[in-house]
Amino acid sequence: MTRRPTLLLVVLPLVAVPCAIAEPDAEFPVYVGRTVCLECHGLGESAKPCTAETKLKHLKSYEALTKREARHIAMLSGVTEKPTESALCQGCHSTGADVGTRWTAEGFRFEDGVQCESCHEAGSHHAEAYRNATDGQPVGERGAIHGGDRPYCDTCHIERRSHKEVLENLYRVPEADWLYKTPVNLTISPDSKRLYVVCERSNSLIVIDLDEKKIIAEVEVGSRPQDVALGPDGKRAYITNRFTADVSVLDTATLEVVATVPVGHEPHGVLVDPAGKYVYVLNTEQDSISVIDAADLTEAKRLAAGAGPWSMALSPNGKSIYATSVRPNPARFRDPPRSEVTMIRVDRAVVAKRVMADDANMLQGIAFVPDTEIALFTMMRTKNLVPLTRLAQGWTITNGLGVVWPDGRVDQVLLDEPAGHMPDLVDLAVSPDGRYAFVVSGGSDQVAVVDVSDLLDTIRSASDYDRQHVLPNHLGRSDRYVVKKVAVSHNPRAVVFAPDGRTAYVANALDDSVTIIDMDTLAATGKITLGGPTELTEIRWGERLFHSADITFGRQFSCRSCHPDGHINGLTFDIEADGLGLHPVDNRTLRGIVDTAPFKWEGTNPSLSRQCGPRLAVFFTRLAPFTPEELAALVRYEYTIERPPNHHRKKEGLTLTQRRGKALFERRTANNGRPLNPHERCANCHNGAYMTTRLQTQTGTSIWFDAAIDVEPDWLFDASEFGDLGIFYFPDTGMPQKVLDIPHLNSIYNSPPYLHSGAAATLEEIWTRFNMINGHGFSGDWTRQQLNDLIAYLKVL
Amino acid sequence: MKRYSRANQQTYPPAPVVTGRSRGLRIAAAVCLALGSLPLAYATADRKGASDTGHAASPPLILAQIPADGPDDPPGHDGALPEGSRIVTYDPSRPADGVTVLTDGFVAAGRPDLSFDARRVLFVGRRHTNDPLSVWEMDLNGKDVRRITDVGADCDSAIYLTTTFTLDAERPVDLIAFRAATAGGTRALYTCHLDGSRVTRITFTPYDVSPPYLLSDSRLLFGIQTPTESDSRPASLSTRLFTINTDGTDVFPFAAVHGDSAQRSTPCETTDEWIVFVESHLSGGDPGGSLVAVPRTRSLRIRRVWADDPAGIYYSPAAMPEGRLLSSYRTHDGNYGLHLLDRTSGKRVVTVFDDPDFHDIHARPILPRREPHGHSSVVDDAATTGKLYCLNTYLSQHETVQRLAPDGIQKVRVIQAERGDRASDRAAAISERVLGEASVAEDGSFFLEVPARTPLRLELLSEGGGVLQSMQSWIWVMPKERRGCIGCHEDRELTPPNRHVYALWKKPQRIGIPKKPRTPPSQIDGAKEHAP
Repeated sequence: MTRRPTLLLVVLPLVAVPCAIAEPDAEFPVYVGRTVCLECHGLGESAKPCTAETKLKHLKSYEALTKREARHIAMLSGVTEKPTESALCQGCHSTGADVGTRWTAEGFRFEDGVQCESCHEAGSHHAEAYRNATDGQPVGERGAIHGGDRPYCDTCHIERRSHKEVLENLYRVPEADWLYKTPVNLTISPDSKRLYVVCERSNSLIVIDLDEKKIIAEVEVGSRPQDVALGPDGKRAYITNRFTADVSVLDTATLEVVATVPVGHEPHGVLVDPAGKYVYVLNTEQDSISVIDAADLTEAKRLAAGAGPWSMALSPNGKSIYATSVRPNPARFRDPPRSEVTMIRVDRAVVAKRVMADDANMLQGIAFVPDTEIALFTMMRTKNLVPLTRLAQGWTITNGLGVVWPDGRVDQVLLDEPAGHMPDLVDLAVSPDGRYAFVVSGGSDQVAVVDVSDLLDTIRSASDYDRQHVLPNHLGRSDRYVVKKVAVSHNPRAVVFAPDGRTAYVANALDDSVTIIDMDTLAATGKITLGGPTELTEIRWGERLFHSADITFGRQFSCRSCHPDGHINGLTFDIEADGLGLHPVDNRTLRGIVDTAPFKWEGTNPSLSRQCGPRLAVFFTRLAPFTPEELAALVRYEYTIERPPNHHRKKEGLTLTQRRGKALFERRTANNGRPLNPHERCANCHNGAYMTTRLQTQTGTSIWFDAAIDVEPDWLFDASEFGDLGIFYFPDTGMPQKVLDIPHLNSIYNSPPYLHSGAAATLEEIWTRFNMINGHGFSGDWTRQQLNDLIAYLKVL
Repeated sequence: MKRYSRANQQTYPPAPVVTGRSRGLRIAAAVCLALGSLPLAYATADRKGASDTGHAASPPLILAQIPADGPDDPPGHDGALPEGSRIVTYDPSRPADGVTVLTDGFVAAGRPDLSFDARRVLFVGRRHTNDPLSVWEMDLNGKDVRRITDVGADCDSAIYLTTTFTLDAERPVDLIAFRAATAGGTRALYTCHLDGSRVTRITFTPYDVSPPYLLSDSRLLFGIQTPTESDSRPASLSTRLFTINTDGTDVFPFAAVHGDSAQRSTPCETTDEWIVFVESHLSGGDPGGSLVAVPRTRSLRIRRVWADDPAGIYYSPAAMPEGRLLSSYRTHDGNYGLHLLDRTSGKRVVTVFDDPDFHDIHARPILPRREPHGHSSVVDDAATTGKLYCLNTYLSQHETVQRLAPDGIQKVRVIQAERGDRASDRAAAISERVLGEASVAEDGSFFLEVPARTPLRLELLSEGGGVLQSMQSWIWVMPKERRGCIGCHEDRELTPPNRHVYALWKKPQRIGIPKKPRTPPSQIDGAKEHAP
């Protein structure tokens, strides 16, 4: 096959100088754009379905991202970037967004919409091959180009709830939903004059004059701020911004942001050491701690933290900082969760020790008892290994406090009672006199007042056995130290004491307010409103339902208990419906899932309404199901749960490693050249904007505990014969492979463990431990480098 | 925020002050004004026996009156409802008006229960002497009377339930619970729809159960006649309080037992979530006794005697607004009248109503009350079995079990009560049958599939078959229920240890279930399973 040389002369300069392509990148083609394609392929040359009319529509597809409707669709999709800057949106409305500008030729424009290469792959090699070919000679594999068949169309042309709601049902997100404040954290100035309130939704820091109980400023900070800390002199405030992955530095005199410091992914907790030398920032999605030099505002070092570091506290002597971890550390499959408290030496800014809270997860708030080296932290004890068949007796989730003693020993006690729980303990503070700890229960809209002395005495007076086995599991002990429960407002998230100890302030996230608690009466005496809309929108109502444990028998947990921040808690569960003991299922993220139907690992729930409707009530909450109105509100909120920006993906697009991983993901031949069958290819099932065909199939990941067969526990754990758990396949038992929904892969980097069973602790283990017989795609010929490339690619999705 | 059947979320609003031409109108108007509607009819008034000692601040009351033929006659607590028993309303703020009889046309009626919106009354009664007691419903004027149950046996108490939802239902349904005699003669709890359809038995102990009460957390509270653990032979029975879900699942002890042979009955829940019930040590059938209270959240550990009077006995307490308590009370030689009790001391502060010709019992304030959340159920009536699993049989408060070596428990024996003979009130009268034995895993766990709706008790066996521990009470599983236990008579306030126990790695051991051909795995259709 030959082409007219005159045309190729035109093509040549365009493809020969791709934009910013490094030398090794020549291994992969770049996008050249339709102009280049048209040099050889006239408008009328394409086969159906790519008619001229279709082409024209495709070319205008990018334009849709600039329209007002796109903003609403994006919000209903959990997209946090502008639609024109979102790789997810561009994936179907443009060409080449999957690899980024680094892999486009000069002159290529995303704004040109869906072009030829959207279906036919990047074309630089193709064009180059024909340029170099001489008449009568084959162009070889390098000149071949793929795609253009119907399945490619389907990757985008598939029903999307987000689009349907806006374009067909004409739903518009109420303006109020963009205007809520959502206070999630607060701190108080050393002179008790000012309260600084971090507002996640409005991306702002609200400053309140406590004498007047009035707002004196609202300062714009980064995207989705999480926490605030003051320097020792109170002159600077540091605010962590989760989405922009940085820290805003505020001059408290001028109330202006004077600097922005980049840190790790999704920073949460922030704390300044007593000398004001370093600012510690917890990078929640990177399991690390950025140590910022406060003088020059650069990152001096980065420390390793537990999984999902969340909050910090400074010891009264100023020598230690303790950090909690919101997710359990990676563990052996079906082992109880263990979560880390990371201890940092302040004088050297190094990790001194890591202590573990056994059987605990969701370690969030932490505070020291004044004049001691004893720290208290909030935690959850999730019974994820026990079948979720009932709720009585604290069967599913219990909530309490951990105590870290000076020697590093960790005790745990519950704040729950047999028929009354304190769900979602998210923060705590200890009064300056050390008498009370205020513990915030986000799921019950209460603050538990804990008598610290009684709490510690209860632990001290217990035997070692009781401290290990009874106190952490006993619902009848809390009345020894919980002296009162103070009602606050919707979904409290944080508490702080005034330095004089006379008042405490509680941030009510879903009420846009701060509750004032008087310490003499231990009662709420007032509320400061933060100026958000007074209107309760459907989405906001759904958000309240999502965060309220009122939906559960005994008020034991809320949706948020297992889906903090709409995400995961890193655990697998034994759900009643699919059999006890067998079929453990991994908890899946809710971020950005609106268009990933069907739901549930088996894909048997076609909509979120079904997923969160009757079956949730019957098998989880055990109360009456949501009313239709409640369910609609909840689902509408779930549509909007945001997917944080993926910082593994650079602005310019894929790195060479990631690009190699993409090639492996999409490869059509094995390393030895053997053509791969469709089911052996990753991209056969994982494609499109969400990397899923949304079909149900035998994924080849079933292992023995997915099957209803008798096994002997003794030999399950006979490592000498079987090695570790991962080798237990049952392809030869005659058991059918489990049919599963092909999961979407968006943001898969931050949702361990993996596979439907949660058996794979890391992405690597999907292939190194659970694909030994190539049932889940052909990976038997991968080199270590190829696996690393693939993992690097998966992390950008 | 609205949920099914939660249209009225008011909690004991103050009684409205109204005037009217009759008692019936006034009471109905009081309620209807609160509810925004008007009464439709008048009820007949009967001023006989009205007391002048009523309390002006009390809301109107509905109560049962049992003829007081003599001082030693019990007021019909044990299902008996003497002729002449009736349901009346009474307004303590208008004592001169006396009572209004709502159940004209019934030879006997009693046990009134108010709907959550205080518009309807559920009660038991018979229109003719030889009729069995049935469950009826009427409005607050005694009109619009309709029979709900027609089960051919005496239904001697009934209450409104909150909604129940199942996967095969389009929406949650309103249910009632009632007590009725079983074919074997014992009395059990049942539920049915408000139209009387879908009568479902929900308790399966071989002994009598006491009338149910709906707790604010939507569980049913009731008593089971239970053998005491004394060494005396034959063992005596006491009434111990248990809870179940409204679908009969998850039977669980509610309150700690103090003293053998005590009868516990007529519980009520105060506005601050204390459960007050009558504890009687009397013989001879009078249900009255002292009032004992336990907090709903710590019912197994905390208990206090609310009211105890050497000169008399209390019966059928009722929660009143602002934490007060209304209770029937009588001296040992008198009949029951209604008294308000002090919320802290438990002392009688005022006599609200006392008709010398009647025992005045089962009083309720005529006020809307908060409807508890509904319950969602896994029970599938088409199934015949349920699952029963225990996480660790070594977890026990019994020293005999605590002292066992790690491999001390080898098997669990499942015993079925074949019949409960009401003719006897002794534990020894229950005939038993061994359904089978199953192995206990090395970590102390077991996993069984057992017949549903069957009274069962378990015994832990040693390697040689010796009985290490024997349950004294009876449990059951409902169809398709997966009932989990932490241990064997463990501390009931302990939560389960978070471990994947060995027994659950396998399929359940079938006990007492006829063997069926094993379903080939290839025919398992996961999509047809109920799944969240």
